[in-house]
Amino acid sequence: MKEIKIITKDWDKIVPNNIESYRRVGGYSALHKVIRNFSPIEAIEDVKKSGLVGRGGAGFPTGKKWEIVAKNLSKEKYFICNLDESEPGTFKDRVIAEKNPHQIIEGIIIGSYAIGAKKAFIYLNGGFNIARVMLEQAIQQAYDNNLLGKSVMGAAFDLDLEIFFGAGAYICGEETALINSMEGKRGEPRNRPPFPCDCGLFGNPTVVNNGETLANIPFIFKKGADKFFAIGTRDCPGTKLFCVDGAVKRPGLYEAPIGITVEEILNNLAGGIKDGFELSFIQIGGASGRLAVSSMFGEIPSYSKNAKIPLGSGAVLVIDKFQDPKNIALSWLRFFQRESCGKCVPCREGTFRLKAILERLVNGEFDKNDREDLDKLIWVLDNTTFCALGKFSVVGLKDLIKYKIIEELNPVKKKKNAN
Amino acid sequence: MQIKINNKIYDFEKGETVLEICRRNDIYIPTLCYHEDLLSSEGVCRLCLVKTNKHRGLTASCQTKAEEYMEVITEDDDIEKARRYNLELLWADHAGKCKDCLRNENCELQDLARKFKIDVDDFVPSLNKFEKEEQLKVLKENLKNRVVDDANPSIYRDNQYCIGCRRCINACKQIQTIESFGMNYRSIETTVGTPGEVPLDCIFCGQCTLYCPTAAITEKDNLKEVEEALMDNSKMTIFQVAPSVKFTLGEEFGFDPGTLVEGKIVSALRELGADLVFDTTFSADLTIMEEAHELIQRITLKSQNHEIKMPMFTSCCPSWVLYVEKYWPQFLGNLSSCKSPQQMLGALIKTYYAEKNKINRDKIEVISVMPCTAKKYEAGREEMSQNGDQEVDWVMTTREFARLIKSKKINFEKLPDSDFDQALGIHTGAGILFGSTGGVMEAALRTAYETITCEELEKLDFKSIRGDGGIREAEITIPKSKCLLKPLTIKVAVAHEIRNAKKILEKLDRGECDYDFVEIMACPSGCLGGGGQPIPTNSKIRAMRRKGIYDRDKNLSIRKSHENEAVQEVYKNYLGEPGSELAEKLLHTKYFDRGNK
Repeated sequence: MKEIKIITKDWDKIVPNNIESYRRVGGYSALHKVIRNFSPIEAIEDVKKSGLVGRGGAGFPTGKKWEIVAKNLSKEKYFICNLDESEPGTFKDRVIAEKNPHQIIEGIIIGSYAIGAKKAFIYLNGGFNIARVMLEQAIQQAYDNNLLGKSVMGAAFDLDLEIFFGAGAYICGEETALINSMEGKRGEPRNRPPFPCDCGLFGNPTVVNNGETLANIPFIFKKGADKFFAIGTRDCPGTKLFCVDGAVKRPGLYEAPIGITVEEILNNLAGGIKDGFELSFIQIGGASGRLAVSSMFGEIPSYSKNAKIPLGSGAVLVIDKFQDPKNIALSWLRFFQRESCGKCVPCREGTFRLKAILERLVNGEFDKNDREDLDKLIWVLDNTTFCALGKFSVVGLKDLIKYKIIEELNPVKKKKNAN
Repeated sequence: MQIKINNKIYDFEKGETVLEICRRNDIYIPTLCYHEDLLSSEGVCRLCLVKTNKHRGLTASCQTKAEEYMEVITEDDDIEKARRYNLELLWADHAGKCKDCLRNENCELQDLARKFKIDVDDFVPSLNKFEKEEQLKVLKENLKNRVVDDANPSIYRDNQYCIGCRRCINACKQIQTIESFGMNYRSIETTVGTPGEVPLDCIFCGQCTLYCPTAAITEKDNLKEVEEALMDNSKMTIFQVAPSVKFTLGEEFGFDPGTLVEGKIVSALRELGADLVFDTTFSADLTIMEEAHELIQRITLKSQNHEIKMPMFTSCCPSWVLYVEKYWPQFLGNLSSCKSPQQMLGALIKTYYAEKNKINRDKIEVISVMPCTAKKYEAGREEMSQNGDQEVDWVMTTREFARLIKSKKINFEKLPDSDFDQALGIHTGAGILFGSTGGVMEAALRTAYETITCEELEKLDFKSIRGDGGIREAEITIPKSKCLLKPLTIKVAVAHEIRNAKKILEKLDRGECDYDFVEIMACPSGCLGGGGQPIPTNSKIRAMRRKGIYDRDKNLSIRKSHENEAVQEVYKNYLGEPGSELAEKLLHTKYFDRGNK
């Protein structure tokens, strides 16, 4: 199979914090092309044509998002790169920022140009120290080379780019919570509508894009939108970074075109199961991801609405039979319980109660009442929470029950007439 | 525009939420975080979930703006489940605490739990393993950051009852702009609190206590002290009752808001063992005498080009006074030096009345029944005592008073009417008006007019300053008369809620207005919407209370403070005249910069 790479292609050829080495592999030529030859509207048209969808998890079409903000007549607009990446098992954005920070910055500049923003931000997870240094140096180099600041590349386009350090809260990766956090408010989601595209940072139209999404932008303009569209699947063109972890021979970060099956990720990318281990199931998309059991290994994880396995953040966690699935379920709920912002009742109280039940499950104290309560809690988290975090917290658990992986959680048999 | 709810068509106006339309049309939707008085609900309780044709799954009706042709369903199995399960989650750490709770039988969560027949031990499955006493611990095992704040004299907070609805945050922010509260911590420990959990240090208006659906924020309960005073035979207990309480206490016993229950209040207090029951409305009239005198004095001095701070601000509302002291010390000189009616009456009881009846002031306990939590703070101010003896010893809010009556099993509804004790118990319509926003102004104008002109005022109603507008302005022209050589125009402004007061102060600070007299009440609609008044409150209830007050004024034969015989007698026999040296000493006070800078 011919390797197709977009994001990681040049990583071994460049020195990350050296703008010259990035330029030698064609860096900033896309920006040059856009600023010289494209009007903002044309740039957006190309992104739309490329079919690029957001790589943060939700898969919203990037071009469409840009278009909404570009059409807004507000004088002040903002462009934010979401580098908060805190989904468990996901480490793609951090690695991009460490290996090739200029790639993200080039994407940010093109995006800002397209939507008409004069101010851009990188919302960086405060724990990413190496990425922080790399980005800071790269931004300085970009300023020094007139790629940022007043009249970028001599064009009538000014742009300032600044890093904003998050404090590591999971919920701040959600765009409205991210905006609250940047405004100095409590990191909790806002009601939508209004969407950030209409009323975002400080009430102005704002684009929030994931770091990986933006790293694709230079390719689209360098090689052409058609070329990008030809990679991957029809409804999800392009490649995806997979963060493979768990009981595999070669855990790590891999890039592959979307369309790759679960089995191919496992065997072709990660070298298959570690010797002496037996596969139990694979979780795709981080702690909030769906489970793939062996019968589903032919499925293609993608952002398509019909996908049986949503791609999510691209984390691939391979679980072997030495792992107790009860512990895994508890670890999910420990995570989501801790990361709940506490705003709405079902998420604040529900994740706590659900965690307590799973603790009893792990300790062998699980009883019939717990089984009933578990169903209630899963339902209430799935259907009634303010934002998606509540829903996320039970995705894996629902699949554990669906695929009957934990015996105690199997559906309660209907009693025959007790009397 | 039209919307279809449960297959029936309803009209609505742009901007209305689905919840508001349902409320208006008596379609039941439970909620704990929405309140009609507050601009926005946060959509956090998740009890108001409905289904519409524009949303996938369930959506919060309080957050959903109605759209043309939207179709809404408010009852089905999923909606029922959402309400029930979320209530169970809230109840899981709340149950079992009702018995000793101040809000028992007047708690929105308790009401809903009963309506939906919520089981005590949902989500607390290990409960049956514990003995009763230990249940509480298990129920609230999730709250590690329990905060009990009783450091201030007015408001008591215990966040074990907090359900995180954020109404207090919004009330404080939207009505008073103080922003005392916010959310602290995260996940299960999330709770309402002050920044850094320092003890509450605000203006103590108590609006938060009105909007709290549970007992997480309440008035500071002083019933124990009141009961002790009543039990103590060596002490003479003298009560005073604020004007607005007469129109609101009835609500606690099933009367309509605005029903005058003055006579029953006096009977109830006597039943409880009060030695004397005086009327704060009397001292409201007295306040008017002093305040009108001060106003005329200030206007006169100003016209003679003396350095005098104008406009004069009313000083009856302790929250307002504290607000100026804390946030706008440059305006301290504008506050009328008059004490509030509560303190004036307290001072007179412990001097005039005590001396006249040869009672040692130490033997007297003055207890007031007030619509207000800040009055508790006011009574404790250092300037409001003599040699360490407070003019007013204890303050009960309307709600506490109702609890006391109920706890003593007094059948309030059946009580006969009694009259206040005479010496300090006569009142006029002017004094009654103190209970409503604009009332002090109107009462003062009635007296000032006649004092300035030496002629009788024919039209007593100053309609332009009545009503419920946030800021009401008027120019009152006092015509030429035998005592007034040329017509005098007094520019006045009346505001309620600190957010409106703030606007006036900002304008004054920028020199954009030139009022002579400004009346401010911190609470919505004035004392009748006070932080110590019965719960619930809303604009409809407050309007009924206001109507009661103005109707009463209309029906009284004496409607001007200076015609109050008891007031005239106090001046004749004791104080001399308004502004006399003794009046200054007893009835006036000083203000201090209390900012935290």
